[in-house]
Amino acid sequence: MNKVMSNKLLIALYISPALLLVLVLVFIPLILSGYYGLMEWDGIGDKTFIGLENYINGLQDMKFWSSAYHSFLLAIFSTLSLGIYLVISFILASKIKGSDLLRKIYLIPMLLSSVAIAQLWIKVYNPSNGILNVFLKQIGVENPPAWLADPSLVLFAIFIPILWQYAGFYILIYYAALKNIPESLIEAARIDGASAFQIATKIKLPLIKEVVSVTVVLAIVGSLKYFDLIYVMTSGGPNGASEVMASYMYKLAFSSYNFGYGSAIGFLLLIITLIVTFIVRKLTTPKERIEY
Amino acid sequence: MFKSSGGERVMEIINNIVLLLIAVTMLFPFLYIFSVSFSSVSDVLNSDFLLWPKEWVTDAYSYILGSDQFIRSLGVTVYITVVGTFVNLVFTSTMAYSLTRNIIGQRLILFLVLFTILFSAGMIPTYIIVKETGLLNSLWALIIPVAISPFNLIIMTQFFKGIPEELTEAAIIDGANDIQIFTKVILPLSKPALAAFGLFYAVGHWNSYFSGVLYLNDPSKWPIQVILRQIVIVNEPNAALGGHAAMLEALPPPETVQMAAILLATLPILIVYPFLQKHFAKGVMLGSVKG
Repeated sequence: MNKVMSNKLLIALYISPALLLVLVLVFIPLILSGYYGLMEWDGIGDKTFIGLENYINGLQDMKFWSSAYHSFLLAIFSTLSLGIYLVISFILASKIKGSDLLRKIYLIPMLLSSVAIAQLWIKVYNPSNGILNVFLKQIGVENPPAWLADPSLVLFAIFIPILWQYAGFYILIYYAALKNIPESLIEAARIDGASAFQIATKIKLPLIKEVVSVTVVLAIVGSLKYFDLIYVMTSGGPNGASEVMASYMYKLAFSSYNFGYGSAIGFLLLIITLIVTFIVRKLTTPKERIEY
Repeated sequence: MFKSSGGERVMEIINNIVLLLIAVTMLFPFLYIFSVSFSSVSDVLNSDFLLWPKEWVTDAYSYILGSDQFIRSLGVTVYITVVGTFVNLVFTSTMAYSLTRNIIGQRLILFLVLFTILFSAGMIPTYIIVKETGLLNSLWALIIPVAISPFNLIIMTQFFKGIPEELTEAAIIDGANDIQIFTKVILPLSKPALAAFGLFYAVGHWNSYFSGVLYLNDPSKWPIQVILRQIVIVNEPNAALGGHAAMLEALPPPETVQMAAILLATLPILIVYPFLQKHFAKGVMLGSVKG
């Protein structure tokens, strides 16, 4: 008995540093975020309690809603791009020669820092001597757009590097799931005369539904919180055309020193993510688990 | 075996071409960076597609490598990567191990961890906590707040659970306590997994720039990615590198300096990647199988 108790103590000892960190660094900030949102505060001086004013302002702030709209656009783009990744993974998993090497190459962008990726793509999009526009001019486009400076294109232009960056990650996840499907199932279907397309859509896809559902949640939540490349490439510009919720929050707090209002926006962002995740989980979780 | 029809053959060829094209788009930017960084000013400004340096110029490299600021930031990054990864592995593995033992409140703890994979409070409260705990302008601000990745923690817990129970039971019969089981049984069996997680964490530390921007005011403490951002985005290579260019006769063009800086900041990872990619891929796969 004593031994068991001392073990429990020891285990509690093991877990405490990590748990303490998780609590201090994640949950307390979460509560603080909601709390700071109730204050008028520049981040340095005294806090003044102003009730729900920040939240009410946030809900009436057109800039916030347009940044939320952009975040949701990103989420839709990302979800659609999962389809592309899925198709690529299907091809990769279908006994292609050199698929090992290809997978390794696909993962490379994931190893790069956001700064390097941003810089790279800023060069690609350079209106006068970027690779993209030089190419467009050579194939006869007279006035190629100024991608990152064009309010109607900038969000799309930023999405391409995001697509590029995360390709390897999602492809690898799908690839692993596809490789987990027992070969016997595929053989059986083939003997029954199913075409490659039928095998892919009627057998493989339903079998990896669960994994797909998880990646949909990951992609949507990741997009709603997305900040990295936008901050480095355009910092929300031109004229707010690529502002997303996280970059708007950053600006409020660290450029305008409006920590109270920024926190309120951050809290709204969290609530929105929670609601969306809940809905998406409800919609995409397969009703019954398929066992094989 | 099954004979593939003509249609399938065509499909196969198209598939191969598509996959290759994607691989090219993944690699092409590196070639471009590489070429520009070694090219002369006139070549960079005058040629449309620069895929290979016409004449080899190393001015940009000698300029960057001659800068104290760049070398110092490289040192800072190596320090953060080594110390940070060590801290990561200690905290993650001890917590993962405790989660494999049946402890009170385990489900609650697991839920709390899972919750943080998807949701976080964001940068403002985290910034304030870093500030209030006195970590501002300290390199620990780049290490402690990211000491545990909940995602990695869950995967490592799963991995530890996969270690046959007979092994730990045998150790218990031999009179081993938890610390001994952990260090003598679990850790040695988890070397490949630890390597994978270590790599994940190390890449994260090497690439981290935003916490540097947020938490460090003193330029002498900036990690390499922050310097890189100064060089390439703020477009002030000379200022970011400590203004030592005054000693040079002519300043290398910012274009080539930027590209050389990107290459130098990325190179260590690209060099290590081929040796560790097996673990890296395994790490991603481990995560996905759990789903």
